[in-house]
Amino acid sequence: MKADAGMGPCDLALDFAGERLHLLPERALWWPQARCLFVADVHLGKAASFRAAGQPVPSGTTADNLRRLDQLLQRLPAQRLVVLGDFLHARAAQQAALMQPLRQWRARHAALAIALVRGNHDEHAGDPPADLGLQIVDEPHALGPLRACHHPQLLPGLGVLCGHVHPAVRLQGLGRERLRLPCFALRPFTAEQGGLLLLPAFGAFTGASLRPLPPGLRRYAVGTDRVWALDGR
Amino acid sequence: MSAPGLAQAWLARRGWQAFDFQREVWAAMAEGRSGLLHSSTGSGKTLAVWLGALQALLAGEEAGTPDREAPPLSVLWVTPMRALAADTLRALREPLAELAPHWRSGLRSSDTAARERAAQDRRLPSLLVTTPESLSLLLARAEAPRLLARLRLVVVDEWHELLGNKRGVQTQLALARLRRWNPGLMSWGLSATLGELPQALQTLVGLGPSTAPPPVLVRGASDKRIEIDTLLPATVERFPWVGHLGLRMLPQVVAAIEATPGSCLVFTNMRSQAELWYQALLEARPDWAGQIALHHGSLDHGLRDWVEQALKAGQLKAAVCTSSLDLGVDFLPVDRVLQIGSCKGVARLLQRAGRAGHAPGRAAHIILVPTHSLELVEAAAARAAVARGQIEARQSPQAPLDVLVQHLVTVALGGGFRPEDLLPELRSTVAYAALGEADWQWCLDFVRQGGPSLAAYPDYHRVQVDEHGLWRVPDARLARRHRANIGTIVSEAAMQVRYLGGASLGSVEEGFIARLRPGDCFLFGGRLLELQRVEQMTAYVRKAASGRPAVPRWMGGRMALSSTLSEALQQQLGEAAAGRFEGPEMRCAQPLLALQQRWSALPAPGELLAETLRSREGWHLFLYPFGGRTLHLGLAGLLAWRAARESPDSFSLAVNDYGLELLSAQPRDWAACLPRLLQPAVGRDALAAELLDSLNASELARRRFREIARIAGLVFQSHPGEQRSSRQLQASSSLFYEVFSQYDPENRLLGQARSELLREELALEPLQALLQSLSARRLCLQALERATPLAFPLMVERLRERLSNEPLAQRIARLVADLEQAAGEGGAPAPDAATLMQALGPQAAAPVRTPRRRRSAR
Repeated sequence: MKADAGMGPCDLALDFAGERLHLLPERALWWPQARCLFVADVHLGKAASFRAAGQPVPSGTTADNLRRLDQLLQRLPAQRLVVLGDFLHARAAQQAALMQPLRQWRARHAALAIALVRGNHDEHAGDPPADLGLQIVDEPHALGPLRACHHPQLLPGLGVLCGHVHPAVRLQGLGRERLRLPCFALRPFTAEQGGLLLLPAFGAFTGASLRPLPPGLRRYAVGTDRVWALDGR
Repeated sequence: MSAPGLAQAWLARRGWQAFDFQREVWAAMAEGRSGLLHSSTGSGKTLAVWLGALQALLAGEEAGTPDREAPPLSVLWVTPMRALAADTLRALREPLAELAPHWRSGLRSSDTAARERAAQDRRLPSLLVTTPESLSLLLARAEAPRLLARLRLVVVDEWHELLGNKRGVQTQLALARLRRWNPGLMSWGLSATLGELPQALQTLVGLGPSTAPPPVLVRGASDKRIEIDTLLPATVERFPWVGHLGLRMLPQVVAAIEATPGSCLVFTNMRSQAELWYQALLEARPDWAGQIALHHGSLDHGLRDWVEQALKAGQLKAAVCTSSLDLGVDFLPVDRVLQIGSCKGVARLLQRAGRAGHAPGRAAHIILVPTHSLELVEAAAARAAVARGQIEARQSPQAPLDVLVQHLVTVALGGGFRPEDLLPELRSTVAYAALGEADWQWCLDFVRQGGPSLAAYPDYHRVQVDEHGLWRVPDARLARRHRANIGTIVSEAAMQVRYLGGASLGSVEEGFIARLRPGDCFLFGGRLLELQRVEQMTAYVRKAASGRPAVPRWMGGRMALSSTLSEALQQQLGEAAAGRFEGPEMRCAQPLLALQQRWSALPAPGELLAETLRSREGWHLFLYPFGGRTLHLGLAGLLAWRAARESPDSFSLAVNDYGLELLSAQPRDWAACLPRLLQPAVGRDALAAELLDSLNASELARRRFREIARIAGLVFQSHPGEQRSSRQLQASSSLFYEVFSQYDPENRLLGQARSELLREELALEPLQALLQSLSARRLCLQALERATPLAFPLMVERLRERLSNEPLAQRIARLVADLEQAAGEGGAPAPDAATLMQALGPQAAAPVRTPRRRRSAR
């Protein structure tokens, strides 16, 4: 299979730390060379932990999250899935109602190696049960020239992939039109300082940050089924 | 001495004479009647009801018997603002000391100290001054029925402040509950400046079967004399066409304050505006430092107390304030009131004017300070409306489900309920008289299991039904959270503002702080502050070096011009169109109105003025129905929706009290399609359907949902100092809106968001009436070369609604193309590690920020 296998027409490819990476409109990142898929901030069980605490949130978000992962794994020849932190939302997520569909999902992708980089929510939620077969690691998690992290950081000479921020971008145009979209954000790689690629939150019930991104980052908005480069090449 | 003469005698000992209306109240109370007392500010309403109450409640008791025991809670005095509670209690205690020394009295609001609360928990005082929220909290206590069993009177102060909003609904529900326990309970409302009084009375006393004699409406002493003046700009040609700050008038305002022998109140419509004016006055007159003060609802209450005390003592030349000083029981020695910008309604104007000369028999003097030219016309209109005695009425919201959901949990906590018993009690309120069976069932399902279908909300329970069929809240954690949430009808989640050293400055809306980065500056409490970090609902700040740019705040929350004032305004413009300019304001505005006439036209009676303009921004349509911003919002959405149906497009909508603007990014021949778009709908239902369609395409419903989600307890209110783990339960209301729309579209709170919009924001019935009246008017269409005095304010309006039915991908493609055109060469360099950490990292990374502060402080 060639390196770009599985790439859809609306993905956006870029070079980062010497590797070719694809930004996917499903709010995920694909590294064909390593057959590795990255997602960040899934926040499984967030709705359930709201309900357990007496906040009525309708069910359906977990099923939606898993279904979208299924679709991605179907489309791409992935051997490895790396979750860049905040896989589970809170301790209350560790319950049967969530774990059962999660185990079924895992069984459907038994051959897939899954690594979870602990994020701040995972610290509180506790590690997922061992029988899910996740490799649980602390940041930075080394993958060739890339480092999988949860929190944004720069590591000299290395390309950092991270989540945590839930980045979003606001588009403005003629007729005073405005639109908010989740986005990827890139601090291009330099050998001296390294590089940083922020992933949008993957979870269905997560929302996006109101905090503005620092200037100088290249932003790639995710809208409908396309990734749009906003700051030139 | 016998009780019946008690009130009269107390007044006589002070050398005062009772007014007729006071005697009328006493007689009604002696017969156990409820009622509404309507009288202007400062005319002695409080004494009328309080002396009457003591006289009625002490009747039958042997006067002068020593060592009588204090009676249990007998009188609840509900005040809409907790800032007023202390003053109210002080005023009530004065006669109490003499007439019923054995009574104990106390105050309960969110400001009450823990020690005082604990004492009250052991035994409630005979007289309790409280707020609607604290009253609900009382009802949420398990022993509430016992505690409140011997209550005899509830007084609701400033009823006009509560009547038209959801806090008033909360009060109606609480009154219904109390009446259930004490069928003979008297309820009295006090009100100033209100239209439609019989309706206001009915809403207060409810509709239920009562054993008490029929309620009475008492009208107080005739309104006091009100003098209204306007400060005129030196030259109207240089006066701005638009704006809301009004700082151009600073020299005139300084002169007016200077010329006042005593104190002035300077009212603004927004807190940010109050901050700016306070700064500007100090800069203009540094020698007034210490003699002028700032007062608004966000400031720490210690500071507000100080300002109020200083005002009472006559130590201040002026206080710049917001609606925080609209109300009050005290006889402040205020000689003059200035109103910066439009007062938006006749009732508000009278209320504020009443703050001056706040004593029986003294004239009230208010000076209007226009912030832009058209407010000159508005000032003339306001004076005319006051002269004709036109005052706005207020109506209770109809069956808001969010308040009901909150109340159900409150009642479940306060001893529990059986649905079949509770429903008639709810329907005895004006707000829920027409509560439908389906809505009722839905609310019950919602608090019990999240919704009608069990499957949709697994693990969710708030209220549970026990083995006796009683609905209760068994989970202590949920009970605590609900109590913490009861206050949320009042305000958005508030964040404490503190110095790094720990001193508290007050609180601001969370949404405002969320938009700031550490290092940004803002004006607060008369100081320029720099945000340091945000932790657990507290914003830590330090004083900023002067001269740093401040972030403007609180652009939102604007009120609509009342229809009463709007009609008066159209009359004034009609006069101008006919060439008649009467009064100083109209003569001053004449050159501007002439310009409008030269470039376009002045709206004349029987005509509808429309203007079109092509600018760099796109294709504009301006329309001037003069219906107030509420109606214009609905109309703008409707017109945009109808236009978008003819050909897919995205619109940006702007409204103000005079007109509306539709701006589209793609060419559109407004002249050709406007008559078609303005057709009235074939009926009310057709219009409702159209409006709902247009809503689903716009952001309006989502915004409305914010408030509903908060009240119904969907969005968890975080509180300063709360444990960190609760942060994991926070989500924005727009996220809730999306999740509900996608996974539970039948949720009735979404339905409520839409219907509240239809009724309150888009005003369905008045909108249909407006469409009908517009279609009867002759369309006067003007193609503009440049924006006119009427169009310009709409063109620069920043608060905009959006409506689009274009495919999303097409919109993004267009926006990205715009972006590429706008982007010049270069751009910012890639950020280094320190900059990245500052913007994205945990906000407590202190060492990183220090160098930046030094640089920017230069």
